Amino acid sequence: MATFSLLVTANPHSSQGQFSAIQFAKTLISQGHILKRVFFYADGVLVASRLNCPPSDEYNLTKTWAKLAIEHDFELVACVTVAMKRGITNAAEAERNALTGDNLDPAFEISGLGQLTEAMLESDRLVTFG
Amino acid sequence: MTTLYILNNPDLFQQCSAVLDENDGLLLIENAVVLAQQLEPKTAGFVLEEDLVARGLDSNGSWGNKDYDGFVALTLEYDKTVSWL
Repeated sequence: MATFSLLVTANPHSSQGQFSAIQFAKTLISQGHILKRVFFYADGVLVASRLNCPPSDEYNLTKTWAKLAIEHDFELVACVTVAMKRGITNAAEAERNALTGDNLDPAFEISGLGQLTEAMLESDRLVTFG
Repeated sequence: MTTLYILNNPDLFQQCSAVLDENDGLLLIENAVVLAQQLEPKTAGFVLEEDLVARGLDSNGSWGNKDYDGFVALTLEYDKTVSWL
């Protein structure tokens, strides 16, 4: 049994990487390994908005990550700097920056790159999907 | 130290191949699976079968087909993974 973390930089709207990462996450869990954390960076953070609203016949990546993380108790962390730059914010950051609303999905958190470093140190493998 | 390189962009094959050591592996995923039809791997070469099938392609036989179970296992067989983006 091994511990994994994933780094996801793929844009959820224009590349396959988020789908690949979800499939990889489901598979490693089904094999009995542990998924510690999924860290979203660059355009990957766009998946953390709870306002993502794809047509009903398309896959909802935000809800899929949220459901998987809740069921299997792993963390979904978006980098705060790149998230804020792309308009992905939680209530605290919205207030700090005098923004009129927040949109972070409740299954996700925003934090710093230290969370990525820690995930690398505390996992047997880090696998990147971009 | 052995490394599994994961390639999803066929345009970066030459760059990625240039850094492969003889004990390293190369796994083609996403759009890079097209290379499994065209090229021979220089070291141990693998291709993600689901992405191959999704594109209606076949491997030329010189790449090892892996499903997602095999993908996870490969990441553990090598000491670390590098995704070539």
